[in-house]
Amino acid sequence: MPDPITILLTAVFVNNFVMVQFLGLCPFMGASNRLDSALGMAAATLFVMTLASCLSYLLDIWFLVPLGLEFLRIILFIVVIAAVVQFAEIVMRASQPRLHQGLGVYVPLITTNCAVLAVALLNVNLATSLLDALFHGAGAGLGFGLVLIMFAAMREHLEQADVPIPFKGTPIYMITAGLLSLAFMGFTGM
Amino acid sequence: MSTSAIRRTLWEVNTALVPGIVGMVWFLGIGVLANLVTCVVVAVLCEASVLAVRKRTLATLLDGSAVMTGILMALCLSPLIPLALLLPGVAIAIIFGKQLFGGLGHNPFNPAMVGYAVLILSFPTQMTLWPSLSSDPFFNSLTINETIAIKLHSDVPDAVTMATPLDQMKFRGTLTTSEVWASSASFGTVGGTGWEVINLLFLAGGILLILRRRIDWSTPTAMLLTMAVATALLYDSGSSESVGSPLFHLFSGGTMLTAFFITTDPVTTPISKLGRCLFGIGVGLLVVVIRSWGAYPDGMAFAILLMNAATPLIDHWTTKRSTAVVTP
Repeated sequence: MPDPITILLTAVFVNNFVMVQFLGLCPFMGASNRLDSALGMAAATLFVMTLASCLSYLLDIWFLVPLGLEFLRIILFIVVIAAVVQFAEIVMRASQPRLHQGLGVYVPLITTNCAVLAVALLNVNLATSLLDALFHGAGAGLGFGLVLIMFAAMREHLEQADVPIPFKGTPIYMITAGLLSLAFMGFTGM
Repeated sequence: MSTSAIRRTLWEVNTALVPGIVGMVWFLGIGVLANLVTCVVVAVLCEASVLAVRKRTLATLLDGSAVMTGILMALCLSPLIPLALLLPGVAIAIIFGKQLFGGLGHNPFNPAMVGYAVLILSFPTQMTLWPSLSSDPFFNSLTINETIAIKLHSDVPDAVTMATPLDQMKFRGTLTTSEVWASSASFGTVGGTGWEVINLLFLAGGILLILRRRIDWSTPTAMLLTMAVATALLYDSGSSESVGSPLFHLFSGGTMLTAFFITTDPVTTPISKLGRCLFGIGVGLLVVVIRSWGAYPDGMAFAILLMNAATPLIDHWTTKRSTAVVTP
């Protein structure tokens, strides 16, 4: 069984949720238009992923597995994630009102970020302890944040580029994201 | 820099590649020349057709950047690769790697590395087939007709191929580094036979460019020092777990070519001195990590692409706000 540090590094680089597993692409494209809002989104997602990973793991081993209710995993994990997102939104609205305004609909949309649900579901096979679940969630969040922030900086740079008219905006962002994903293939096999 | 200064620099960089190219042709055979000519022609044609479609002046072709992308791609490829594979590789490099972003000065990734990465992911078998460099220079051991058969019909005789020194070092099982060194003639004095000379020739070209102040010395220095330190820490005097000595890594594969001709590209690397040092350190670390634990024998292209992606962020943190925000 891999140790927690390996799980963390694997989730950040080798199996990066956005670039290698292609999860969470909607917030990746949506929240990367400005560097400061990308930083906020990265922090919020890291918080939600870590907490939701731990809580859903505990829910799984304490209730679902002993009661034989594994088929309820998806629906109950989403409830857990929604509760954590609600908590994060309340905290953010109180402490960072400007950031909360800037991110707008993307904060509640963390609930439907499939990368968050994927962490909870992958824990079923991957995590053998709460520590594993904690590091897997944190790794997924860090990996998401890393590529989100890198991509936001690239997009600010691309806005000044002389892109051919048919490729301006979303098309060139998609191509850039594709090339970034190509770069992440270098971690294959570790 | 003015356009004419950029043009002069690019052509001078292209010229400084010549010693390394001569070395590669001598050791790896005229397949290298076939790659070079094909890549440069395809690169210039792709660049010209995009410029024509966009109704831009074709004069920008003379800046030498398309030629440079073609040359750099050709130098990363095996002389045994079928010519047909070069067409998609170079076309993707020029069109997706550069022109869709608006051409020279706007591309976030090094175009040659984009093309190389696409090729090695799509055609891993053909891309990792290298000639054996055991005794005679390969130039002498393959006739023109055999080379044509290889390049056009991918008719490669088994006897001429061999795992590269980096591959042999990586997949050597339980041998120590000195045992694997003794077991195969493809290891030379410090690096692979032939490869060490090729790397020295690229090093010479790079030093010439630094002396003429055409490239910045900080990125290659940071990259090579990082590689040396990281491999020295992993060396453990050559047990079966070791990844090979620092000198072996500095003089094998594409180390010197990458250090002096790819990490010094002013477009896709950071602006400030500190940023360039960070870029070099990042590339060095990633190369060692990929060479030691990754699936690919020489991690140069992926290391460069990853650090290219981090460059806008490095710029953001290492330059003043006023210079980072440029009004279009």
